[in-house]
Amino acid sequence: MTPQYDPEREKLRQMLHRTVDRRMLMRGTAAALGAGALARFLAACGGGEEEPGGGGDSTGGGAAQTPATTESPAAGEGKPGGTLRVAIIGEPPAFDPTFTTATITQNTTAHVFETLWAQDNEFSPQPLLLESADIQEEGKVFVLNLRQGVKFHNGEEMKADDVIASLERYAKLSGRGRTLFERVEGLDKVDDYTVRLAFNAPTGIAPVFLQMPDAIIIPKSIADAAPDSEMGEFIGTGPYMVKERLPDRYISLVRFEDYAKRDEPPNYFAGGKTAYFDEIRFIPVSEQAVRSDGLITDEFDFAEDLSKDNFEALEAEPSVELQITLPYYFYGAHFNKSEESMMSNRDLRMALLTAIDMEPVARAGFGDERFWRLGPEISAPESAWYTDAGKQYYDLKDPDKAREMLQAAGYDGTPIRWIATKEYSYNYNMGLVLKDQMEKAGAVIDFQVMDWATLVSQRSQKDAWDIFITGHPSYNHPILQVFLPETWPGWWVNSRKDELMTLIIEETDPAKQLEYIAELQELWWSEACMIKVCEGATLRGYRSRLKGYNNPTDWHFFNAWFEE
Amino acid sequence: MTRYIIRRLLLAIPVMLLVAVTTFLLLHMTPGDPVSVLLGPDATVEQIEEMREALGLNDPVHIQLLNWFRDLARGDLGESIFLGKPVTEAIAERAQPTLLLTLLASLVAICVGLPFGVISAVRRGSTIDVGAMLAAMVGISMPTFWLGLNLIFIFGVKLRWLPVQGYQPLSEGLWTSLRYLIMPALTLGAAQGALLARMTRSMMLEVLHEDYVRTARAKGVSERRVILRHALRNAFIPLVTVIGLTFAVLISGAVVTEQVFGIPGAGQLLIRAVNRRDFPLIQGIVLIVALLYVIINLIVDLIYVFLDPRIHYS
Repeated sequence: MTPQYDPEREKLRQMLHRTVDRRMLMRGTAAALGAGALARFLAACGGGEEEPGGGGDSTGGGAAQTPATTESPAAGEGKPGGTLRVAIIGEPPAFDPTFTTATITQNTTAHVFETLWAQDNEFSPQPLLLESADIQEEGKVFVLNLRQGVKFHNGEEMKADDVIASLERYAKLSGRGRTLFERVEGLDKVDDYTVRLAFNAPTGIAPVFLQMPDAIIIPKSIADAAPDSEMGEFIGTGPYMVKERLPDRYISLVRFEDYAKRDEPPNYFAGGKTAYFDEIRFIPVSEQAVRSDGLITDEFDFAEDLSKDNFEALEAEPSVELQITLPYYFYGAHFNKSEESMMSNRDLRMALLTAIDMEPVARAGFGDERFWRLGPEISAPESAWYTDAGKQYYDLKDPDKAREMLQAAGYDGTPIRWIATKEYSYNYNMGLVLKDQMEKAGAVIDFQVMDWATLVSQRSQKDAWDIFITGHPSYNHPILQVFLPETWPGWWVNSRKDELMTLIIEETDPAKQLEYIAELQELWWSEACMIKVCEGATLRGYRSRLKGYNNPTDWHFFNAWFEE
Repeated sequence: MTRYIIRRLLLAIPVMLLVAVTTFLLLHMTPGDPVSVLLGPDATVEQIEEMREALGLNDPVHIQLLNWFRDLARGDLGESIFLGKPVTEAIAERAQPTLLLTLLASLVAICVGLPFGVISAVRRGSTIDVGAMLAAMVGISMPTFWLGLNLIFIFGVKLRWLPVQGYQPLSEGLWTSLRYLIMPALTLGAAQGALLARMTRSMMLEVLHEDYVRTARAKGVSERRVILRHALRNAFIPLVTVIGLTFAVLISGAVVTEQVFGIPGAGQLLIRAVNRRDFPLIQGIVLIVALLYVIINLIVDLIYVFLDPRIHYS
């Protein structure tokens, strides 16, 4: 399959990316990494996982564009001081991004912990705690040169022992860590500021894994004390440190005065970070309406996941700015492809896919067209991994043909078990419309509504369900998508998929890598692994005195400040 | 009396045991897994299994039950899976907002319910009676969250008199703390106040037709004294039961109100625990609420003695 390089789309992407010149970034990265091989493949890397919730669009009314690519402020432009009050959707289940992959944990801890590499404006890795990385033996060996003088919040300096202990913990605790470290044959200290990471095969993709929030670097003593559990102390190298955590009341972070700032300009999670606020207070507010109200009444400076029904009312508020977040997550229905489910029949899956008209489903999930966009892609148009491979299977809206295909697939009217939840409105609403469309094609759907905790538990059992809906980030590298490995609910087993994943992991040429990604995406569609419906945005709001926020995809508040 | 109290407390033991076993079994029969929620959506089946094993969740249910009872016998309610601290400590931390809210809501219920109930009974059939009972009907029927969100909209968003959500402990100052609790207390107290008004009215109507009330009036006792001294005091015995139960209901019923107003109390703790399937925490909260019911019922029974000298326990 040939990758889709659409000049019109490229132009659109460049318009959206009114930002640091990409080539300049690449040059900077290449220099920082000290080798050409990795720099080449950096153009094609990102990150990813799944989360319920959210929905949105790229051309919203008065709201700002999301891409993590809006202009960054010049360093030193902001004003220090003040307490930022952030209304978050709930209490993080743990304050340890290696231990849990919950998005709310990753967002809040991003201020406290840092990684060797970090995502830049185009979601590609840039050195953060690294000074440089020497790539040897065609990507089999990474010599990691650590920055000197980087201090942890406890005053100790970050050294090779801390990095090794943190990565060993990551290898054990994180799902992504386990995947990466299956290829690792050596993690050794060369000296206090140099670590040698050796793989058993070329692994050009390593920085894409190590830029993700689960690959944080913490002091050796803390990593060793919690090898398989949540860490006991929250000590990182980030611009903010934890002052107090009162579950369900607030998490208070304060400026880390000894933060070792990089010299480069701010660049999403990479580059220089400045802690302008004296304090950031994350306040769990589970009621969406109350988050909106608190934003209007100036009890919060920032609120995430606001109701799209409130868009006009919030837009009319003179002191409130809105952000429609795209790229964000894409949403769709996963089939249970294990032998225990009737959906292991590929022809049956394809029949159901053929029936679907995507637009009404997207509208049911996310409201008007400002908050969603259609397309067959796994990675958003703004990313380097965009391809429309497999589009011939997308949005076919042909129930008559689907009916014939169902019969040909030997479907006997057995109810298809659909597990859904009302806890996330998109999940239930999209499910109802999809169910209706499938039933019009002759399928019988047993729509079982349950709470999210039950759904998450039930989806792990191969014999308990046939279809469920969830979302996945569209802005990370496709290799990080959780639904690709055969261990994730959905259980997609395919030898060519495995080969392609290996090729992507090893490949360092971005053009070649995009070819493999396109073939993988084509295969994903031709196997009708899931019914990908649309990308959906989330709506965020903030007081207009908050400057330097720049509407990133994953929110964070270093380099942001107040200006009355 | 002391023997009576001891006997009642001893009788509470089988009740608590029944509650404990029922809660435990119901929870473990309910689908849902704390580990899946704790480890996040990317966790592999292998990771989930390892953590379940580490937490003892893969043991047979009867073994888990025995382990829990063994800890309970030592006064240990276990450790919260999510908070990583003892359940007793987690509940104690959340007790202040819930108790304050319950006290204030009870005050609202009593201040609204009793006077309106009495006036409605005395002025039976009048405009006040019809109006009060109509308001009571609305109060009982109105969903708590709907009333709460409307109060937030009016007093928080439009008038900006009160904060829309959150909580400040008493240590931050009485008024600072109260400002956060006024709307939740009104929300929570409204339905119970309405219920109390209706109960008070019907009790008073019954008592006002008793012979001793007619006798008091015939003796020339003032109407005010007849109502407050002779009628209300006698109507009060069943009302104390209602007030006691109201208090118990409010303690356990603050769940929705705390959720709407973002109050970090025991109700919110419970709902979070249920959503996350934090088994030890849910079991601990349910046990403590059950214990509160037992204690409140005992206190109500003891108050009878002071209200009516004819009642005595041997």
